[in-house]
Amino acid sequence: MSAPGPYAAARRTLSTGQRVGLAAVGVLLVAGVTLATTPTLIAVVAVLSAAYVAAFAERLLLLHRAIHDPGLIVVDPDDARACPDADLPLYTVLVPAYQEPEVLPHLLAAIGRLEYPADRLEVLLLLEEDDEATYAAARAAASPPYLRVVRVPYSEPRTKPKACNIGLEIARGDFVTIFDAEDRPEPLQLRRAVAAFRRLPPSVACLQAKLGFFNHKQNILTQWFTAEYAMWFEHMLPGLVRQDAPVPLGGTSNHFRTEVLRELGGWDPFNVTEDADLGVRLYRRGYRTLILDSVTLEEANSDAINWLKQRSRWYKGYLQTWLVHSRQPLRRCREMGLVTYLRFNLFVGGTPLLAIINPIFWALTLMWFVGRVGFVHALFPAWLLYASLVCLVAGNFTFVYVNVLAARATGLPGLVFRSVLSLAYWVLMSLAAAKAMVQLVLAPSFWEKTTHGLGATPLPPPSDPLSDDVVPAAAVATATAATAAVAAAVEGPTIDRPVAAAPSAAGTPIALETGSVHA
Amino acid sequence: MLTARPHQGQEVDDAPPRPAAPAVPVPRQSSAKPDAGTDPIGTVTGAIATDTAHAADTAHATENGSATRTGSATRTGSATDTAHATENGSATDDGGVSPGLLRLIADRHGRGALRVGVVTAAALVACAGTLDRLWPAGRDQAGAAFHLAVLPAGAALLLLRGRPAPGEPDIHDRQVDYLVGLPLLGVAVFVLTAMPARLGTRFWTTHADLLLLPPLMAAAVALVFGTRAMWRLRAPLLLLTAALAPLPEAAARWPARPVAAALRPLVRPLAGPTLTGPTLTGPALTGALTGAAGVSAALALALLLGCSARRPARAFRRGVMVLALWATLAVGRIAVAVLAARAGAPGAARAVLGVGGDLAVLALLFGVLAVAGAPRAARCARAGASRPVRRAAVAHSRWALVVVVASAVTLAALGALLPPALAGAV
Repeated sequence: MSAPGPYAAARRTLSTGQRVGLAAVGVLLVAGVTLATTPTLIAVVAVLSAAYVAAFAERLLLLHRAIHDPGLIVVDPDDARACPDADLPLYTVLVPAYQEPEVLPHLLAAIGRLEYPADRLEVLLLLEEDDEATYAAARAAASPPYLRVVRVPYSEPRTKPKACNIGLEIARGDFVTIFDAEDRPEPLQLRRAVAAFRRLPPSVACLQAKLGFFNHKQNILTQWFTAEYAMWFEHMLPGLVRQDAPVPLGGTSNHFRTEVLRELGGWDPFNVTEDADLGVRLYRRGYRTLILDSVTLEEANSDAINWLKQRSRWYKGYLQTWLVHSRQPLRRCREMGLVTYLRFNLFVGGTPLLAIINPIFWALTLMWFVGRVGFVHALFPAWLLYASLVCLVAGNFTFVYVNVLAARATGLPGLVFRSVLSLAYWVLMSLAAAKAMVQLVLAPSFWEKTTHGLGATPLPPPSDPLSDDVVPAAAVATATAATAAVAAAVEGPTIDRPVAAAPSAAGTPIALETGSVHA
Repeated sequence: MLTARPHQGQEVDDAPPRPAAPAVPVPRQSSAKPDAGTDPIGTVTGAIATDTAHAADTAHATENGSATRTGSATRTGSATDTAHATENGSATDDGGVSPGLLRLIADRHGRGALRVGVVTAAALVACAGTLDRLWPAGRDQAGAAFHLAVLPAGAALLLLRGRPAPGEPDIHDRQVDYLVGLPLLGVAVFVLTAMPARLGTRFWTTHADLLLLPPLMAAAVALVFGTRAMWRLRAPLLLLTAALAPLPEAAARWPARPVAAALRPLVRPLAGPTLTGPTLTGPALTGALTGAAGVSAALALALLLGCSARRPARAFRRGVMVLALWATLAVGRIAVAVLAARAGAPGAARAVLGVGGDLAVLALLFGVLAVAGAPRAARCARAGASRPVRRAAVAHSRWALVVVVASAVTLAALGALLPPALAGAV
């Protein structure tokens, strides 16, 4: 028994059609390997190599678009503060937490520093029924008037989205956002989001704030993670926005129009990256997601095993999201367009799948150079060998280059050098992807809990909530410069119809109202 | 579309908790969806390590002598942990420890010792064929003989560095353990099966098959003790790999040459005119310096045992100490041989400088180091006893032990079956 909720597409990992398709592919592969082993395996390697090339090309394209015109939504602090308190809408902040009494004080302090009138704020601390420790910590802490503790009754699945759905049901705000328990949002973030929402067309239903880390100096893993997040939020997501593609949302600091979220049925409680799934669903319903230039600081995972748990959940969720939205491919193509749908497959499905396949190619390479194993030679005829070599060299270069570029954009000392060493990080990624695949079969909706508090540091001073080294001046300048590039304002798209992007001369397909909200 | 249903989320900010019907009530044990909310196979989340000084301080600071894990009391498995800590985290006033603590420590150490024993036995079984091929090199005091010293030193290094570092997070994941361990077992098999295709007979004659040991040990540690333990031992495992790397005969003998050249003029007059030449200052002396207790072995031992220390300065001191001890033993050995030669027992002199002498020197070396290190180990044990008891880092290791043993047997079979006839080559 379980609580299905209004939207629970990931409850079944595979649809009947997908099972049949998968079985057919399996039978074909087995038959091919049995009857014509070498040609079949060569064909598989060729297809995978093509997928790699497509993935690299997509990354470079996203990078190019993001660097050329990031299209961030920038709201000046003065504009954010300009709105009188009385005119601000009620804002609901959902904080799902489980077994995190030690980080709760940090969270309450961070929320206390939000520049938003207390009578317009509603913070719902969503605690599982059996989480007595966090509940006790919440009761013991000085409770501000806007904080409401909500006990989430026991039911399956025990996931964050299920708790958020319960929060959404009782939320009273016009806008709703999610913060994780260890988050430290920028104090002006809610005001910025309100100002942006008011000036953006109604079709923009979600604003994703950027995420950064407060403990990036802790060890090499946090440095790699920081570079990766910088790549994600500075390049990849803006690139997706610029491509008018579905944006897989991050797990926190995404701001929604409440009525749209309710209309969509909230989050899928069975999907362990419910936000990525929600981003795709928003896109399919004609809504758009933009990136808000405001940073929430999180705790970077500083422990490899803990990191693997977290990353495997993300990969598993991406696979769930990919499978859910691939159940009716023709319909998806009509909804999204063929190219966008292919990009969705490449980005959401390809990310974990290529990470799983990587070790196989590493092993083949090792086998050849160390053991000169015969079948490796047979797998790579000359035409495929050269193509694969290009793939190997160009692909590795691409990923290192993208990482280095993102690291450089952060302006943090030492991060560029660590990014060059990020090959080892890929091993961890592959391990996480393999774990994700195992769990997708064994426990698709199991929520792999991330332990927080391993890198806790004191809160930054109130006057400087964002570390200068986390939000690089260069990035802000780039975003501000991009403001001028987005001049074309179009009508907001109607619901259920994909946004008709208005390409400008600069190739910027995002339509925004300009003013104090900049893109 | 979702509609507000207040009964689903029970607000308790200003009202006492009241019983609320879950959205879809489910029995907590029986009919819950197996994948949702329950821990899938092998995922273990613990908390901050409890053998840290901080945790120990906490244990002493609390009124009833109990310790709570730092920031851990509410995480998965914490009830058990806390119970253990409460029961056992106290030290008696006279410095002794409670019987319950001793029992638990003994139980825990017993399990740990059993695991260590099984893993060691598995490694011995796996490399039985390898040792069989290596023994002639040791007997003949060939260049590769120093590998015989590397093996126990590597084992000692793994044991010495196996202790968790203070503050190490107590977070484990059995799925990751298997995902790391099983491929490493595959690497060990690969070493024995695929590498000979490239190296041919040279693979066996240069003892490249010894390279199966580091991946095997890494796999065994990951499977039985967890990936965290394997990561902790990454430096020793890499050092062991470097120390076991195959070397050409000339390269393996190279470190002994200058030492032999320096010693020969000193030994010759002492040994007397009748026993110089081939007996003492010739091949016998050179053999003693290239054998299992030769110069290469001393350097490898200094490197491996030196690196058992966590701090560079201490590692350097430990390495120098090993070298000094070896030099003392080597000088003593040569002196005994000289005395035997002067006493008219050339056979005894040759025996002292032969493989028997090598083994005796190695035994003495390890014995002295063990005796010297025992007080420190005892101090560590005493210090550990006053800390909260740490639960077994990795549970459910039975199947892992079975996998490791089965792999070891497979490797032993491969090691026995695959080598070509090397009667003349070794």
